[in-house]
Amino acid sequence: MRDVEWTEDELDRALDGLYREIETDQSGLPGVRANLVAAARTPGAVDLGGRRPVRRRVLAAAAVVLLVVAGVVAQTVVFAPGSASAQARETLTSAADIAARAQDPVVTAGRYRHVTTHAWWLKTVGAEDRSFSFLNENVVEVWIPADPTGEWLQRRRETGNRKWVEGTEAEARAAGAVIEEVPWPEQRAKGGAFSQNLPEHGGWQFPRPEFAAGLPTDPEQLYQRLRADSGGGGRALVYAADALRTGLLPAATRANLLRALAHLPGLDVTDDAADLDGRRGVALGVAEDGERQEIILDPATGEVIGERKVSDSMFAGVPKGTVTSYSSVTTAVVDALPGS
Amino acid sequence: MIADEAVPSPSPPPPPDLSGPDPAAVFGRLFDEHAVPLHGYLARRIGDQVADDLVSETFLVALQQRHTYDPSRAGVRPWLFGIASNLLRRHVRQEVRGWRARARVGADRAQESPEARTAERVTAQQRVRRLAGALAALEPGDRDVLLLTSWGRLTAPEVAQALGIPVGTVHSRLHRVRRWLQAQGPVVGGEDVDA
Repeated sequence: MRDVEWTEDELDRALDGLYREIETDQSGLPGVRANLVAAARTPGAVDLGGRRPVRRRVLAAAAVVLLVVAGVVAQTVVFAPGSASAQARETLTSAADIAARAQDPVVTAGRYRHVTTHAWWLKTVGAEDRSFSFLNENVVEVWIPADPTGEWLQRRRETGNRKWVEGTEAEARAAGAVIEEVPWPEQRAKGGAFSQNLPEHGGWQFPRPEFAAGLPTDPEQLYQRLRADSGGGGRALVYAADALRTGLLPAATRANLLRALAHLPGLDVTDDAADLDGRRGVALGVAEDGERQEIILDPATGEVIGERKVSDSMFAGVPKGTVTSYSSVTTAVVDALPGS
Repeated sequence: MIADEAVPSPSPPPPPDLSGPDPAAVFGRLFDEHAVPLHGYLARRIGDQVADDLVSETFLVALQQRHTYDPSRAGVRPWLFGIASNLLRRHVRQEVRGWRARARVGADRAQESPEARTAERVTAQQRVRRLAGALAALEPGDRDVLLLTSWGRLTAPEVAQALGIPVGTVHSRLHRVRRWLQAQGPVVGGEDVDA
Protein backbone atom coordinates (compact mmCIF):
# COMPACT_ATOMS: atom_id res chain seq x y z
CA MET A 1 0.00 0.00 0.00
CA ARG A 2 1.29 3.38 -0.89
CA ASP A 3 -0.03 6.78 -0.17
CA VAL A 4 3.00 9.01 -0.29
CA GLU A 5 2.83 12.13 -2.36
CA TRP A 6 3.67 12.17 -6.04
CA THR A 7 7.37 11.99 -6.72
CA GLU A 8 9.02 14.69 -8.83
CA ASP A 9 9.17 12.22 -11.68
CA GLU A 10 5.51 11.26 -11.42
CA LEU A 11 4.50 14.91 -11.45
CA ASP A 12 6.65 15.56 -14.53
CA ARG A 13 5.09 12.61 -16.33
CA ALA A 14 1.58 13.66 -15.37
CA LEU A 15 2.14 17.25 -16.50
CA ASP A 16 3.78 16.10 -19.67
CA GLY A 17 0.92 13.74 -20.47
CA LEU A 18 -1.76 16.36 -19.86
CA TYR A 19 -3.30 17.48 -23.15
CA ARG A 20 -0.50 15.84 -25.05
CA GLU A 21 -3.17 13.91 -26.96
CA ILE A 22 -4.38 17.15 -28.49
CA GLU A 23 -3.74 16.96 -32.21
CA THR A 24 -2.73 20.50 -32.73
CA ASP A 25 -4.31 21.89 -35.83
CA GLN A 26 -1.72 24.18 -37.39
CA SER A 27 -3.56 24.72 -40.64
CA GLY A 28 -4.26 28.32 -39.62
CA LEU A 29 -0.60 29.26 -39.30
CA PRO A 30 0.17 30.01 -42.98
CA GLY A 31 -2.61 32.59 -42.98
CA VAL A 32 -1.26 34.09 -39.77
CA ARG A 33 2.19 34.28 -41.34
CA ALA A 34 0.87 35.98 -44.46
CA ASN A 35 -0.84 38.64 -42.33
CA LEU A 36 2.31 39.19 -40.32
CA VAL A 37 4.52 39.62 -43.38
CA ALA A 38 1.97 41.97 -44.96
CA ALA A 39 1.89 44.04 -41.77
CA ALA A 40 5.68 44.12 -41.66
CA ARG A 41 5.77 45.44 -45.26
CA THR A 42 3.41 48.30 -44.46
CA PRO A 43 5.16 50.93 -42.36
CA GLY A 44 2.83 52.33 -39.70
CA ALA A 45 0.21 49.67 -40.31
CA VAL A 46 0.75 48.03 -36.97
CA ASP A 47 -0.82 50.01 -34.20
CA LEU A 48 -2.10 47.73 -31.53
CA GLY A 49 -1.46 50.22 -28.77
CA GLY A 50 -4.87 51.84 -28.70
CA ARG A 51 -6.85 48.79 -29.62
CA ARG A 52 -5.49 46.02 -27.49
CA PRO A 53 -3.08 47.19 -24.86
CA VAL A 54 -0.74 44.55 -23.51
CA ARG A 55 -1.67 44.44 -19.90
CA ARG A 56 0.87 44.73 -17.18
CA ARG A 57 0.88 42.18 -14.46
CA VAL A 58 -0.56 43.09 -11.10
CA LEU A 59 0.92 40.29 -9.06
CA ALA A 60 2.49 42.61 -6.53
CA ALA A 61 -0.91 43.60 -5.17
CA ALA A 62 -1.93 39.98 -4.73
CA ALA A 63 1.29 39.20 -2.90
CA VAL A 64 0.66 41.97 -0.42
CA VAL A 65 -2.78 40.57 0.41
CA LEU A 66 -1.34 37.11 1.04
CA LEU A 67 1.27 38.48 3.43
CA VAL A 68 -1.31 40.36 5.44
CA VAL A 69 -3.52 37.29 5.86
CA ALA A 70 -0.62 35.00 6.68
CA GLY A 71 0.39 37.29 9.51
CA VAL A 72 -2.85 36.57 11.34
CA VAL A 73 -2.36 32.84 11.81
CA ALA A 74 1.16 32.52 13.12
CA GLN A 75 2.21 29.14 14.46
CA THR A 76 5.96 29.01 14.53
CA VAL A 77 8.09 26.18 15.79
CA VAL A 78 11.86 26.56 15.87
CA PHE A 79 13.93 23.43 15.44
CA ALA A 80 17.57 22.92 16.29
CA PRO A 81 19.76 21.47 13.55
CA GLY A 82 21.92 18.37 14.03
CA SER A 83 19.61 15.59 15.18
CA ALA A 84 16.22 15.15 16.78
CA SER A 85 15.55 17.20 19.90
CA ALA A 86 16.15 15.67 23.31
CA GLN A 87 12.43 15.36 23.90
CA ALA A 88 11.92 13.64 20.53
CA ARG A 89 14.80 11.24 21.19
CA GLU A 90 13.37 10.36 24.58
CA THR A 91 9.90 9.76 23.11
CA LEU A 92 11.28 7.59 20.31
CA THR A 93 13.51 5.54 22.59
CA SER A 94 10.71 4.86 25.00
CA ALA A 95 8.32 3.95 22.18
CA ALA A 96 10.98 1.71 20.64
CA ASP A 97 11.49 -0.19 23.92
CA ILE A 98 7.77 -0.89 24.10
CA ALA A 99 7.51 -1.72 20.38
CA ALA A 100 10.36 -4.24 20.66
CA ARG A 101 8.42 -6.20 23.29
CA ALA A 102 5.09 -6.01 21.49
CA GLN A 103 3.33 -9.26 20.74
CA ASP A 104 1.92 -9.05 17.26
CA PRO A 105 -1.56 -10.57 17.02
CA VAL A 106 -1.30 -14.03 15.52
CA VAL A 107 -3.14 -14.42 12.25
CA THR A 108 -4.00 -18.09 11.97
CA ALA A 109 -4.60 -19.83 8.66
CA GLY A 110 -7.75 -18.66 6.91
CA ARG A 111 -7.94 -15.40 8.86
CA TYR A 112 -6.93 -11.91 7.79
CA ARG A 113 -5.17 -8.87 9.15
CA HIS A 114 -7.55 -5.98 8.48
CA VAL A 115 -5.87 -2.56 8.25
CA THR A 116 -8.16 0.45 8.10
CA THR A 117 -6.88 3.92 7.30
CA HIS A 118 -9.07 6.98 7.80
CA ALA A 119 -7.37 9.62 5.74
CA TRP A 120 -8.28 13.28 5.48
CA TRP A 121 -6.48 14.51 2.41
CA LEU A 122 -6.43 18.04 1.10
CA LYS A 123 -8.17 18.60 -2.17
CA THR A 124 -8.02 21.92 -3.98
CA VAL A 125 -10.42 22.59 -6.81
CA GLY A 126 -10.54 25.64 -9.02
CA ALA A 127 -13.40 27.71 -10.25
CA GLU A 128 -13.28 30.73 -12.51
CA ASP A 129 -12.27 33.39 -10.06
CA ARG A 130 -11.04 31.48 -7.05
CA SER A 131 -10.07 28.16 -5.63
CA PHE A 132 -11.62 26.04 -2.91
CA SER A 133 -9.87 23.64 -0.57
CA PHE A 134 -11.15 20.99 1.77
CA LEU A 135 -10.03 17.98 3.70
CA ASN A 136 -11.74 15.02 2.13
CA GLU A 137 -12.23 11.86 4.17
CA ASN A 138 -11.17 8.64 2.50
CA VAL A 139 -11.40 5.19 4.04
CA VAL A 140 -8.89 2.67 2.77
CA GLU A 141 -9.23 -0.92 3.95
CA VAL A 142 -6.76 -3.69 3.27
CA TRP A 143 -7.23 -7.36 4.11
CA ILE A 144 -3.94 -9.28 4.35
CA PRO A 145 -4.15 -13.09 4.43
CA ALA A 146 -2.36 -15.15 7.06
CA ASP A 147 0.12 -16.10 4.38
CA PRO A 148 1.04 -12.65 3.03
CA THR A 149 2.00 -14.12 -0.33
CA GLY A 150 -1.69 -14.96 -0.86
CA GLU A 151 -4.31 -12.67 -2.32
CA TRP A 152 -4.88 -9.31 -0.66
CA LEU A 153 -8.02 -7.21 -0.98
CA GLN A 154 -8.14 -3.40 -0.97
CA ARG A 155 -11.19 -1.16 -0.89
CA ARG A 156 -11.24 2.57 -0.98
CA ARG A 157 -14.06 5.06 -0.80
CA GLU A 158 -14.81 8.70 -0.12
CA THR A 159 -17.11 9.05 2.86
CA GLY A 160 -18.51 12.38 1.73
CA ASN A 161 -17.26 13.95 4.98
CA ARG A 162 -15.48 17.20 4.23
CA LYS A 163 -13.85 19.89 6.31
CA TRP A 164 -13.70 23.13 4.38
CA VAL A 165 -10.46 25.03 4.60
CA GLU A 166 -11.02 27.67 1.95
CA GLY A 167 -14.57 28.55 0.90
CA THR A 168 -17.73 26.56 1.61
CA GLU A 169 -19.34 23.61 -0.14
CA ALA A 170 -22.26 25.77 -1.25
CA GLU A 171 -19.91 28.36 -2.77
CA ALA A 172 -17.84 25.71 -4.50
CA ARG A 173 -20.88 24.02 -6.00
CA ALA A 174 -22.35 27.32 -7.09
CA ALA A 175 -19.08 28.12 -8.84
CA GLY A 176 -19.15 24.79 -10.65
CA ALA A 177 -16.09 23.25 -8.99
CA VAL A 178 -15.72 19.47 -9.28
CA ILE A 179 -15.91 17.97 -5.81
CA GLU A 180 -16.69 14.24 -5.94
CA GLU A 181 -14.32 11.61 -7.22
CA VAL A 182 -15.02 8.63 -9.39
CA PRO A 183 -15.73 5.60 -7.18
CA TRP A 184 -12.61 3.54 -6.75
CA PRO A 185 -12.75 -0.06 -7.93
CA GLU A 186 -11.96 -2.88 -5.53
CA GLN A 187 -8.46 -4.28 -6.00
CA ARG A 188 -7.17 -7.78 -5.45
CA ALA A 189 -3.53 -8.71 -5.77
CA LYS A 190 -1.25 -11.56 -4.82
CA GLY A 191 1.20 -10.56 -2.15
CA GLY A 192 -0.37 -7.09 -1.95
CA ALA A 193 1.21 -5.95 -5.22
CA PHE A 194 -1.65 -3.59 -6.12
CA SER A 195 0.59 -1.52 -8.33
CA GLN A 196 2.51 -2.83 -11.29
CA ASN A 197 5.60 -0.81 -10.53
CA LEU A 198 6.51 -2.24 -7.17
CA PRO A 199 10.14 -3.17 -6.63
CA GLU A 200 10.53 -6.93 -6.78
CA HIS A 201 12.10 -7.29 -3.37
CA GLY A 202 9.95 -4.67 -1.69
CA GLY A 203 10.69 -1.21 -0.40
CA TRP A 204 9.63 1.16 2.34
CA GLN A 205 6.08 1.35 1.02
CA PHE A 206 5.88 -2.40 0.59
CA PRO A 207 8.36 -4.02 2.95
CA ARG A 208 8.59 -7.64 1.90
CA PRO A 209 10.44 -9.93 4.35
CA GLU A 210 13.65 -9.83 2.29
CA PHE A 211 13.59 -6.03 2.34
CA ALA A 212 13.14 -5.92 6.11
CA ALA A 213 15.87 -8.54 6.58
CA GLY A 214 18.28 -6.44 4.51
CA LEU A 215 17.94 -3.29 6.62
CA PRO A 216 20.83 -2.32 8.93
CA THR A 217 20.19 -3.15 12.59
CA ASP A 218 22.29 -0.27 13.87
CA PRO A 219 19.92 2.71 14.30
CA GLU A 220 22.30 5.30 12.89
CA GLN A 221 23.10 3.19 9.84
CA LEU A 222 19.39 2.51 9.44
CA TYR A 223 18.77 6.25 9.48
CA GLN A 224 21.45 6.76 6.81
CA ARG A 225 19.75 4.12 4.65
CA LEU A 226 16.35 5.73 5.18
CA ARG A 227 17.78 9.15 4.32
CA ALA A 228 19.44 7.84 1.16
CA ASP A 229 16.28 6.07 -0.05
CA SER A 230 13.81 8.83 0.78
CA GLY A 231 15.80 12.00 0.23
CA GLY A 232 15.74 12.88 3.91
CA GLY A 233 13.82 15.44 5.96
CA GLY A 234 10.05 15.14 5.99
CA ARG A 235 10.25 12.41 3.38
CA ALA A 236 12.31 10.24 5.71
CA LEU A 237 9.47 10.54 8.19
CA VAL A 238 6.89 9.66 5.52
CA TYR A 239 8.87 6.61 4.37
CA ALA A 240 9.31 5.40 7.93
CA ALA A 241 5.58 5.78 8.60
CA ASP A 242 4.76 4.04 5.31
CA ALA A 243 6.75 1.00 6.40
CA LEU A 244 5.56 1.04 10.00
CA ARG A 245 1.88 1.09 9.24
CA THR A 246 1.88 -1.75 6.72
CA GLY A 247 1.87 -4.24 9.57
CA LEU A 248 4.55 -6.17 7.68
CA LEU A 249 7.63 -5.25 9.71
CA PRO A 250 8.69 -7.53 12.56
CA ALA A 251 8.67 -5.97 16.05
CA ALA A 252 12.46 -5.71 16.25
CA THR A 253 12.62 -3.82 12.94
CA ARG A 254 9.85 -1.46 14.00
CA ALA A 255 11.75 -0.67 17.18
CA ASN A 256 14.97 -0.08 15.25
CA LEU A 257 13.22 2.26 12.87
CA LEU A 258 11.91 4.37 15.74
CA ARG A 259 15.43 4.56 17.17
CA ALA A 260 16.75 5.49 13.73
CA LEU A 261 14.41 8.48 13.61
CA ALA A 262 16.20 9.92 16.65
CA HIS A 263 18.98 10.80 14.16
CA LEU A 264 16.66 12.85 11.94
CA PRO A 265 17.81 16.49 12.11
CA GLY A 266 15.15 18.91 13.22
CA LEU A 267 12.71 16.27 14.45
CA ASP A 268 10.87 17.50 17.53
CA VAL A 269 7.82 16.79 19.60
CA THR A 270 5.33 19.21 18.09
CA ASP A 271 2.18 18.21 19.96
CA ASP A 272 2.06 15.91 22.98
CA ALA A 273 -1.68 15.34 22.63
CA ALA A 274 -2.41 15.17 18.93
CA ASP A 275 -6.03 14.21 18.34
CA LEU A 276 -6.83 12.12 15.27
CA ASP A 277 -10.62 11.93 15.51
CA GLY A 278 -10.46 10.74 19.09
CA ARG A 279 -7.25 8.71 18.92
CA ARG A 280 -4.58 10.58 20.79
CA GLY A 281 -0.83 10.37 20.63
CA VAL A 282 2.43 12.27 20.60
CA ALA A 283 3.22 14.10 17.36
CA LEU A 284 6.82 14.21 16.15
CA GLY A 285 7.48 16.49 13.22
CA VAL A 286 9.97 18.24 10.97
CA ALA A 287 9.35 21.51 9.17
CA GLU A 288 10.63 22.21 5.69
CA ASP A 289 9.50 23.90 2.50
CA GLY A 290 6.53 25.59 4.08
CA GLU A 291 5.01 22.57 5.72
CA ARG A 292 5.47 20.37 8.72
CA GLN A 293 5.32 16.60 8.40
CA GLU A 294 4.39 14.68 11.54
CA ILE A 295 3.95 11.11 12.67
CA ILE A 296 1.77 10.35 15.66
CA LEU A 297 2.93 7.71 18.15
CA ASP A 298 0.90 6.01 20.83
CA PRO A 299 3.34 6.08 23.76
CA ALA A 300 1.55 3.20 25.48
CA THR A 301 2.04 0.73 22.63
CA GLY A 302 4.92 2.24 20.65
CA GLU A 303 2.75 2.12 17.52
CA VAL A 304 2.44 4.72 14.81
CA ILE A 305 -1.25 5.54 14.90
CA GLY A 306 -1.25 8.16 12.18
CA GLU A 307 0.29 11.03 10.30
CA ARG A 308 -0.42 14.70 9.97
CA LYS A 309 0.72 17.58 7.82
CA VAL A 310 0.50 21.24 8.77
CA SER A 311 1.07 24.14 6.40
CA ASP A 312 3.85 26.43 7.47
CA SER A 313 3.19 29.10 4.87
CA MET A 314 0.28 30.61 3.02
CA PHE A 315 -0.54 29.11 -0.35
CA ALA A 316 -3.58 28.96 -2.63
CA GLY A 317 -5.69 30.68 0.00
CA VAL A 318 -4.86 28.11 2.70
CA PRO A 319 -3.50 29.91 5.75
CA LYS A 320 -0.34 29.00 7.60
CA GLY A 321 -1.01 26.67 10.51
CA THR A 322 -3.78 24.78 8.71
CA VAL A 323 -3.78 20.99 9.04
CA THR A 324 -3.57 19.97 5.38
CA SER A 325 -3.87 16.24 5.87
CA TYR A 326 -4.06 13.63 8.58
CA SER A 327 -4.73 9.96 8.74
CA SER A 328 -5.13 7.33 11.42
CA VAL A 329 -4.61 3.60 11.14
CA THR A 330 -6.20 0.74 13.04
CA THR A 331 -5.44 -2.96 12.73
CA ALA A 332 -7.56 -5.94 13.66
CA VAL A 333 -7.62 -9.65 12.93
CA VAL A 334 -10.80 -10.86 11.24
CA ASP A 335 -12.18 -14.26 10.31
CA ALA A 336 -13.09 -13.65 6.70
CA LEU A 337 -13.16 -11.22 3.82
CA PRO A 338 -16.23 -8.98 3.66
CA GLY A 339 -19.09 -9.98 1.36
CA SER A 340 -19.17 -7.92 -1.79
CA MET B 1 19.17 21.96 -14.37
CA ILE B 2 20.72 24.30 -16.92
CA ALA B 3 23.17 26.89 -15.65
CA ASP B 4 21.64 30.24 -14.82
CA GLU B 5 22.57 33.27 -16.88
CA ALA B 6 24.24 31.06 -19.47
CA VAL B 7 24.51 31.71 -23.18
CA PRO B 8 21.04 32.45 -24.57
CA SER B 9 20.10 28.77 -24.81
CA PRO B 10 18.75 26.54 -27.53
CA SER B 11 17.99 29.12 -30.25
CA PRO B 12 21.13 28.55 -32.34
CA PRO B 13 21.38 31.65 -34.56
CA PRO B 14 22.77 34.83 -33.01
CA PRO B 15 20.21 37.38 -31.80
CA PRO B 16 18.53 38.74 -34.91
CA ASP B 17 18.57 42.43 -35.61
CA LEU B 18 14.84 42.94 -35.36
CA SER B 19 14.95 46.64 -36.08
CA GLY B 20 16.75 46.18 -39.39
CA PRO B 21 15.57 47.68 -42.68
CA ASP B 22 13.63 44.61 -43.90
CA PRO B 23 11.14 43.66 -41.14
CA ALA B 24 9.12 41.44 -43.51
CA ALA B 25 12.05 39.09 -44.09
CA VAL B 26 13.19 39.17 -40.46
CA PHE B 27 9.73 38.47 -39.06
CA GLY B 28 9.04 35.82 -41.67
CA ARG B 29 12.11 33.95 -40.41
CA LEU B 30 11.16 34.60 -36.80
CA PHE B 31 7.74 33.14 -37.47
CA ASP B 32 9.10 30.07 -39.24
CA GLU B 33 11.35 29.33 -36.31
CA HIS B 34 9.06 29.99 -33.37
CA ALA B 35 5.41 29.88 -34.45
CA VAL B 36 4.95 26.11 -34.28
CA PRO B 37 6.26 25.56 -30.73
CA LEU B 38 4.48 28.69 -29.55
CA HIS B 39 1.23 27.53 -31.13
CA GLY B 40 1.62 24.08 -29.58
CA TYR B 41 2.13 25.62 -26.15
CA LEU B 42 -0.86 27.94 -26.45
CA ALA B 43 -3.08 25.20 -27.90
CA ARG B 44 -2.47 23.02 -24.86
CA ARG B 45 -3.41 25.89 -22.58
CA ILE B 46 -6.36 27.40 -24.39
CA GLY B 47 -7.29 25.32 -27.45
CA ASP B 48 -6.47 25.50 -31.17
CA GLN B 49 -8.67 28.34 -32.21
CA VAL B 50 -7.70 30.88 -29.60
CA ALA B 51 -4.10 29.74 -30.10
CA ASP B 52 -4.24 30.88 -33.74
CA ASP B 53 -5.39 34.33 -32.65
CA LEU B 54 -2.81 34.56 -29.89
CA VAL B 55 0.06 33.53 -32.17
CA SER B 56 -1.05 36.20 -34.60
CA GLU B 57 -1.29 38.85 -31.91
CA THR B 58 2.01 37.82 -30.35
CA PHE B 59 3.90 38.37 -33.59
CA LEU B 60 2.09 41.61 -34.33
CA VAL B 61 2.96 42.93 -30.87
CA ALA B 62 6.53 41.77 -31.42
CA LEU B 63 6.63 43.59 -34.76
CA GLN B 64 5.26 46.71 -33.17
CA GLN B 65 7.74 46.57 -30.28
CA ARG B 66 10.74 45.41 -32.31
CA HIS B 67 12.66 48.63 -31.64
CA THR B 68 12.47 48.05 -27.91
CA TYR B 69 13.71 44.45 -28.10
CA ASP B 70 17.10 44.19 -26.43
CA PRO B 71 18.92 40.95 -27.28
CA SER B 72 21.29 41.45 -24.35
CA ARG B 73 18.38 41.22 -21.92
CA ALA B 74 16.33 38.35 -23.34
CA GLY B 75 16.50 35.69 -26.02
CA VAL B 76 13.94 35.88 -28.81
CA ARG B 77 12.15 32.77 -27.67
CA PRO B 78 11.51 33.94 -24.07
CA TRP B 79 10.62 37.37 -25.42
CA LEU B 80 7.91 35.88 -27.65
CA PHE B 81 6.64 33.52 -24.94
CA GLY B 82 6.52 36.52 -22.61
CA ILE B 83 4.35 38.52 -24.99
CA ALA B 84 2.12 35.47 -25.46
CA SER B 85 1.86 35.00 -21.68
CA ASN B 86 0.68 38.57 -21.31
CA LEU B 87 -1.93 38.12 -24.02
CA LEU B 88 -3.04 34.83 -22.52
CA ARG B 89 -3.98 36.64 -19.31
CA ARG B 90 -7.06 38.03 -21.03
CA HIS B 91 -8.28 34.47 -21.40
CA VAL B 92 -7.72 33.23 -17.86
CA ARG B 93 -11.41 32.53 -17.28
CA GLN B 94 -11.64 30.48 -20.42
CA GLU B 95 -8.48 28.58 -19.55
CA VAL B 96 -9.74 27.79 -16.05
CA ARG B 97 -13.04 26.56 -17.52
CA GLY B 98 -11.00 24.22 -19.68
CA TRP B 99 -9.12 22.80 -16.68
CA ARG B 100 -12.37 22.28 -14.82
CA ALA B 101 -13.91 20.52 -17.79
CA ARG B 102 -10.87 18.31 -17.90
CA ALA B 103 -11.28 17.55 -14.21
CA ARG B 104 -14.74 16.17 -15.06
CA VAL B 105 -13.97 14.32 -18.28
CA GLY B 106 -12.16 11.43 -16.62
CA ALA B 107 -15.26 10.84 -14.52
CA ASP B 108 -17.59 10.61 -17.48
CA ARG B 109 -15.33 8.32 -19.43
CA ALA B 110 -14.81 5.99 -16.51
CA GLN B 111 -18.55 5.72 -15.94
CA GLU B 112 -19.55 5.07 -19.52
CA SER B 113 -17.41 2.01 -20.10
CA PRO B 114 -17.38 -0.33 -17.10
CA GLU B 115 -15.08 -2.83 -18.78
CA ALA B 116 -12.44 -0.14 -19.08
CA ARG B 117 -12.53 0.54 -15.37
CA THR B 118 -9.50 -1.45 -14.40
CA ALA B 119 -7.92 -0.25 -11.22
CA GLU B 120 -4.79 1.08 -12.91
CA ARG B 121 -6.78 3.02 -15.46
CA VAL B 122 -9.07 4.57 -12.92
CA THR B 123 -6.07 5.47 -10.82
CA ALA B 124 -4.45 7.17 -13.79
CA GLN B 125 -7.65 9.03 -14.63
CA GLN B 126 -8.07 10.13 -11.04
CA ARG B 127 -4.60 11.61 -11.11
CA VAL B 128 -5.21 13.49 -14.33
CA ARG B 129 -8.49 14.84 -12.98
CA ARG B 130 -6.86 15.92 -9.73
CA LEU B 131 -4.00 17.56 -11.54
CA ALA B 132 -6.36 19.44 -13.85
CA GLY B 133 -8.48 20.54 -10.89
CA ALA B 134 -5.39 21.71 -9.03
CA LEU B 135 -4.08 23.60 -12.07
CA ALA B 136 -7.40 25.43 -12.24
CA ALA B 137 -6.81 26.56 -8.67
CA LEU B 138 -3.37 28.10 -9.24
CA GLU B 139 -2.68 31.80 -9.36
CA PRO B 140 -2.19 32.75 -13.03
CA GLY B 141 1.43 33.78 -12.37
CA ASP B 142 2.20 30.45 -10.77
CA ARG B 143 0.55 28.60 -13.65
CA ASP B 144 2.66 30.55 -16.13
CA VAL B 145 5.89 29.64 -14.37
CA LEU B 146 4.93 25.97 -14.14
CA LEU B 147 3.70 25.54 -17.70
CA LEU B 148 6.33 27.71 -19.42
CA THR B 149 8.81 25.35 -17.79
CA SER B 150 6.99 22.07 -18.34
CA TRP B 151 5.35 22.65 -21.72
CA GLY B 152 7.22 25.64 -23.10
CA ARG B 153 10.56 24.00 -22.26
CA LEU B 154 11.94 27.32 -21.09
CA THR B 155 14.80 27.32 -18.59
CA ALA B 156 14.41 29.22 -15.32
CA PRO B 157 16.41 32.24 -16.63
CA GLU B 158 14.24 32.23 -19.77
CA VAL B 159 11.04 32.11 -17.73
CA ALA B 160 12.40 35.03 -15.73
CA GLN B 161 13.03 36.97 -18.95
CA ALA B 162 9.63 36.05 -20.35
CA LEU B 163 7.69 37.16 -17.29
CA GLY B 164 9.95 40.01 -16.23
CA ILE B 165 10.62 38.59 -12.77
CA PRO B 166 13.88 37.65 -11.01
CA VAL B 167 15.31 34.16 -11.55
CA GLY B 168 15.16 33.54 -7.81
CA THR B 169 11.43 34.19 -7.89
CA VAL B 170 11.02 31.68 -10.71
CA HIS B 171 12.87 29.04 -8.71
CA SER B 172 10.93 29.64 -5.52
CA ARG B 173 7.54 29.79 -7.27
CA LEU B 174 8.25 26.67 -9.22
CA HIS B 175 9.36 24.84 -6.11
CA ARG B 176 6.29 25.94 -4.16
CA VAL B 177 3.86 25.09 -6.94
CA ARG B 178 5.39 21.68 -7.49
CA ARG B 179 5.27 20.89 -3.78
CA TRP B 180 1.64 21.91 -3.77
CA LEU B 181 0.75 19.77 -6.75
CA GLN B 182 2.65 16.80 -5.35
CA ALA B 183 0.60 17.00 -2.17
CA GLN B 184 -2.70 17.00 -4.04
CA GLY B 185 -4.44 13.78 -3.31
CA PRO B 186 -2.14 10.84 -2.79
CA VAL B 187 -3.14 7.76 -4.71
CA VAL B 188 -3.19 4.50 -2.84
CA GLY B 189 -1.79 1.45 -4.54
CA GLY B 190 -1.12 2.96 -7.93
CA GLU B 191 1.76 4.68 -9.61
CA ASP B 192 0.94 4.61 -13.30
CA VAL B 193 0.06 7.95 -14.76
CA ASP B 194 -0.22 6.81 -18.34
CA ALA B 195 -3.92 6.44 -19.03
